Amino acid sequence: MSDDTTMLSTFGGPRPWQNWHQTISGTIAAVDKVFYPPDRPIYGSSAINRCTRQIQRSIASAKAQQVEHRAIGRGWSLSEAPVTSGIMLDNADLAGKKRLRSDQLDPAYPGNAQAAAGLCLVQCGTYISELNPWLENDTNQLSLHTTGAANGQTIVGATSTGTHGSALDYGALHDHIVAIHLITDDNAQFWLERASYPVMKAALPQSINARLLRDDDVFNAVVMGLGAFGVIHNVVIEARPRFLLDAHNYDTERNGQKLVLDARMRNRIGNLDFTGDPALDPPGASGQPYFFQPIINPNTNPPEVLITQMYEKPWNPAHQADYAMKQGTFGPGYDFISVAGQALNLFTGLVPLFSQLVAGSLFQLGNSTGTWGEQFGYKAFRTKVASGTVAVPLNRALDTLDLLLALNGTMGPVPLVFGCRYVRKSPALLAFNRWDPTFVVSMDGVHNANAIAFLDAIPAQMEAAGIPFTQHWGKTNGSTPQRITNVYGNDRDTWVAARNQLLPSAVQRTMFSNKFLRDLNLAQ
Amino acid sequence: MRRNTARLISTAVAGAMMVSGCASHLITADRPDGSGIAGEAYAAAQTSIAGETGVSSDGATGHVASECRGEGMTRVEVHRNFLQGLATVLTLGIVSPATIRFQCAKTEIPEDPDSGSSTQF
Repeated sequence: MSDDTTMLSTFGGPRPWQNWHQTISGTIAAVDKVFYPPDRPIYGSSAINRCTRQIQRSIASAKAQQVEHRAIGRGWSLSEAPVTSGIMLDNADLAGKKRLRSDQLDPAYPGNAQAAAGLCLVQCGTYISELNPWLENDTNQLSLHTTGAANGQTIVGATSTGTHGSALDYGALHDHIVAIHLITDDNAQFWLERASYPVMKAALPQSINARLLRDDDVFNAVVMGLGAFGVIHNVVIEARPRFLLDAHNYDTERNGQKLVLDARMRNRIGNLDFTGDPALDPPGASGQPYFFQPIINPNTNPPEVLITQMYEKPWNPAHQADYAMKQGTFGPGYDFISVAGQALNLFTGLVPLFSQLVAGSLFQLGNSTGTWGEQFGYKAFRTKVASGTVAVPLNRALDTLDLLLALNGTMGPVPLVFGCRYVRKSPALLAFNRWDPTFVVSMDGVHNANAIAFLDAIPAQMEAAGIPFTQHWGKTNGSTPQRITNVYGNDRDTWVAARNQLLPSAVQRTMFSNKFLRDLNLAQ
Repeated sequence: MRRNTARLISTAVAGAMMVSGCASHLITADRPDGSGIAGEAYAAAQTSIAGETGVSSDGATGHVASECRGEGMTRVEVHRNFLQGLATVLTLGIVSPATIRFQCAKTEIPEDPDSGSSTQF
């Protein structure tokens, strides 16, 4: 049978669609699912060309029907970024991965030998849960610098919405990417790199019929592009040598006192001061960690703090990585959180008790040593959760926390906890890690009306307080065209100009837009 | 007497409803992340009816070869919502509906570190 028969399946519609976290839904015209060639060729130019053909057939179908076309990752976003009324392209089966060879690199590649050794070509549908074990195995001996807290997203889905972690000296997940294979039409494709950071010899993009374009602005637009530029089929990432993380999850000081948001903790959170007060460090470890994440429970007085502090350790050849999904504390009946969310709307007095119960159950105290992929593993829950994020310059971190705690006092208690994370600035034009460093507060917890009202109220409060802020594109957010213009300024205009350059016809721009982009005035 | 009996029955039914309310059960392979349709698992509503296949009550079975294209399953969730649980209770387990969601293993792609050239990936 031909590739056209075996590699592209259409699931007709209209059909309902819901995101992984069950908070966003819509009706889509159809799903086109692209499969890797059934004869399982080695992932390379020939296999890529066969997959590209099927992606372009899907685009041609959308064009013919005059409907939107949107590649879906894993559907993990809590915002409406992935929703379309047209054809949703499922590329999860396209999960090729390969190391790049030194003789494939442009002589002007500016990376050092270690960076060059970490260059990998990754196909769009590769889950982070697949990428981690592959990078970290004994053959490749590599690692990602950072990811989100769990591993279920696809590489391109996660990077297109700005997923980040809390590595103190690294940016977001999309900051791994140094080259992009972008399909913009049923007969057009590009290989994008930064002019300031050439990577591949020109012959390589030619082998997949992609036009090489080296342009910093265009690259910095597409690399965090919200799916607005077409279908990203492959990316080149720059991984690092594998390493181990010595992780400490703790809730007490060295003297046994409960960790709370007192003056010393505020200094650590607001200034990243890891030298002033070793009592706040876990026993047996000190100094600046690789990863730092305080989680604040706003529903205790004073607010209690749980800390995850991870230290980089060299690779130990005796280490046997174990990526198996860990048993969830809530056990098989994990729908409990969804049900509890509705109950907490009615019995708000129970929120503080519930917050402690959930925090205690979901945050496993203790130490562990493992690879990046082991530390940030599977999420067993497929349940309705609330999650929103604000990001600010680090020097406004404490103002932001005080504002959120006060808002919880006014509107709450809300069944959310505040996870504090730190991300270095990204060159991506619409990256919400805009400051160096960026302080990020993720408000995660039970999805109910009170939690959503709280998240909705935050932007106006931040504006009233005069705190510059961005919000996570893939989580519940209150972004508006004006707010985007205010914070991104010329970068927003450059992003739109890059989109117009890569998608010169109105037909293309309409096809790769959706309501989310139109509402934010990004689909011009 | 009749009132007490009614109260007893309603209490028992209410208790049974609570016990058999929303529940999900999850079984995974070592690598639990497979694929479905646009991020969602394949889903099938199944109803087991006692006696449908003789004296056995396991009348609801499914065959997923077409969805999984010959690959295995990676993740199976059995979900019973309130109404499905209620139907089971009211029929004393004779009718037992549930929704089963599953994901299929992705295509295994072979690797060859020596593949490619200076002009081909």
